[in-house]
Amino acid sequence: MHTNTQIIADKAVISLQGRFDFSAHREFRSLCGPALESKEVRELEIDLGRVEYLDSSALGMLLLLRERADEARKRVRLSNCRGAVRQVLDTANFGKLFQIT
Amino acid sequence: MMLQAGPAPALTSMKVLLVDDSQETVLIATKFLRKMGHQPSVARSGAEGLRVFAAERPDLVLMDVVMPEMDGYEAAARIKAIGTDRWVPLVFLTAKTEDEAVARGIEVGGDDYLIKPISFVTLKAKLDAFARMLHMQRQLEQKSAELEVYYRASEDEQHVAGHLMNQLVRADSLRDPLLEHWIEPAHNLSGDLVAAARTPAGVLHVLLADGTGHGLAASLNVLPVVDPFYAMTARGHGVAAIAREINGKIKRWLPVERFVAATFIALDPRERMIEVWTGGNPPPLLLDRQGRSMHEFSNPHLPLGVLSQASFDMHTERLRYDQDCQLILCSDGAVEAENPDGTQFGRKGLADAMRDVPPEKRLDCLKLALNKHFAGRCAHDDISVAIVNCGQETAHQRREPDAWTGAADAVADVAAARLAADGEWSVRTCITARELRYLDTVPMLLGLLKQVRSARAHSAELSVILAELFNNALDHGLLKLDSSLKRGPEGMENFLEMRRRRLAQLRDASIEIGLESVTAGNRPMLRIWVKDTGAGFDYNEHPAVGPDAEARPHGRGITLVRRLCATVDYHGCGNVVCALYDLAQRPQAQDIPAPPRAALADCDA
Repeated sequence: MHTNTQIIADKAVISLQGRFDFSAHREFRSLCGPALESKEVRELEIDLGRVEYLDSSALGMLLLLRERADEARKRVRLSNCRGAVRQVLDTANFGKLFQIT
Repeated sequence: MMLQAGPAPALTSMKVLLVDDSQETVLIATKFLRKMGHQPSVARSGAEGLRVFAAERPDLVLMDVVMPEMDGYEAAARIKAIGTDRWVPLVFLTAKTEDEAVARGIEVGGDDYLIKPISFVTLKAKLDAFARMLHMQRQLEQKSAELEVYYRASEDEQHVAGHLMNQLVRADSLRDPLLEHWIEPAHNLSGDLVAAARTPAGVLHVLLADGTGHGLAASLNVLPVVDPFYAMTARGHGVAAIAREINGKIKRWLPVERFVAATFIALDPRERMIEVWTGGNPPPLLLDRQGRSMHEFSNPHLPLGVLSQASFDMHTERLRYDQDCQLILCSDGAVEAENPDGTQFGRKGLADAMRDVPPEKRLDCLKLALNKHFAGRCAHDDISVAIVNCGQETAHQRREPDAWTGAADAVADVAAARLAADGEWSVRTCITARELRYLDTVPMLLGLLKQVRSARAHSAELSVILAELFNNALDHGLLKLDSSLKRGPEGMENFLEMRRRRLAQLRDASIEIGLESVTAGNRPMLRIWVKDTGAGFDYNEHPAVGPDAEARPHGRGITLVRRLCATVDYHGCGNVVCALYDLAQRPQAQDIPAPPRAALADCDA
């Protein structure tokens, strides 16, 4: 999975590309670390626009992120959710947990 | 292994076997080799070379080509044929440089060649290159060995987990005649699970669960799901309460990133009611006899284990069916199954596979359609499908209350005898409006009764009796609902909606329930009484309740309770009902034919 992190003012945008599945576990965790620890960042936006595949372990990673973000008092948003990715998020009703655009 | 800048690490000292019949070459080469820090050994002929190779297992072989009897090519071929797992580089020492000679060398298994006379620089360069390659190969071997160890350990764990899951999943109860199911794991162990059981009153509960993870990790999800499902179904709890309980366990026991998508079904074939709770799974399909969709269920909930108990939503969708139909449950593995082009099977694929297919063939058609869709590609998610046949069960198909004869009549005369409350045990409970809103009262009391030896065998009957008396007290006594509301196509939904509303508004009301063991004419009996704070009714005149009332289409009616109990009486203003149940009688729910009346009358009544 290719990743890209950009920090603009108080927002961190983490863009993911490719397959977001169990093999991305460590990478995703270490990606979000700096953003969560940063004092300036208040919102993490996970850009899923170029993710072609998302499975239940990815949902699990998002849940973990949500918990860590809550502890750090930061918001999490999921952006550019389309097609198959959107479908998985909808079936799991993750719209009730995250702001999804 | 990480790629690094600069020359790769190398074997610093190799065991080098030199096979050459020329004394001069041997002297020079061994001197060079020692200077480079390697350990030379020598053979003077092809045959000796084979012997020494087998004995010493060198890291690298330098092979002269021109030798009497066995030449270098033949010796090389034979050395390579000895065949170990390890690659031993073989370098020919030759004066011949023609293409054919080189090609022949490679053909027989040689890896490189050096031109005689050997120069130190060239020899060192080649050996260094091979030393790097050997180092890499040794590292690979080591990793491979470590992997083998882990692999074996993992296989062992899978085996244990598989055993555990088999024991927990109780394959026998999945043989309910109303249920068909199919699970296709993506790996050895499926993270998907199907469970089924009947409540004491004969309602079929079906659960299709999809836990995060495959293989061994999947089995971790199973215990907190399966145990409450079976235990609570046996006590007669509703599926929403079971869902909530499982949610709590998963949330508490498992890490945050683990959750379980689930579909719960409660099918009451006598009331022809379907109740559905779905969280995280595709919602079930309801198909008519022709295989067309009759109703679209929604999927309103999050998977189990995500929300706290306080936020958990117990709302279920209820539906009455008036014709034979089928519920199709599946996990997302079926819907998201991808063909080689990456197209998903989809809900449309699901619906298409079963349209115009007779009910008994639908599961097979679905399997065929999915296999065709995959076109040889492997599934990367577990697939599970459960099909529940919703029809009308006849009395004899399912140990039904209607089939129970009134063997209790034989002891009806006992009612006239004086009842001696021998104070063995009694339970009295009073439940007020606030608790009535959420407490699962009947299962709670039934759970209690099951602990009592004399009552345990009669759980099915007692469950029906308790439920009828309690629900009457609540629905009619306190909430003043009329059963006639249940009639008609929307009737049940309207009734339940009104019930929900009135229950939410209930104030200053309570229901008292008493369970007492008493003895009447030497027979152990259970007295059940229920008292509500409602206005009561004229029980002598009421058509549904009076002694001549027939069982109504909705609900089993108080007539069934009369059949099961020795006596049923109303008191007060109709807000107190008291039933006496003979604990000595044979429980009707077992498949034992009821003893003939005469035999009963003969025993110590």
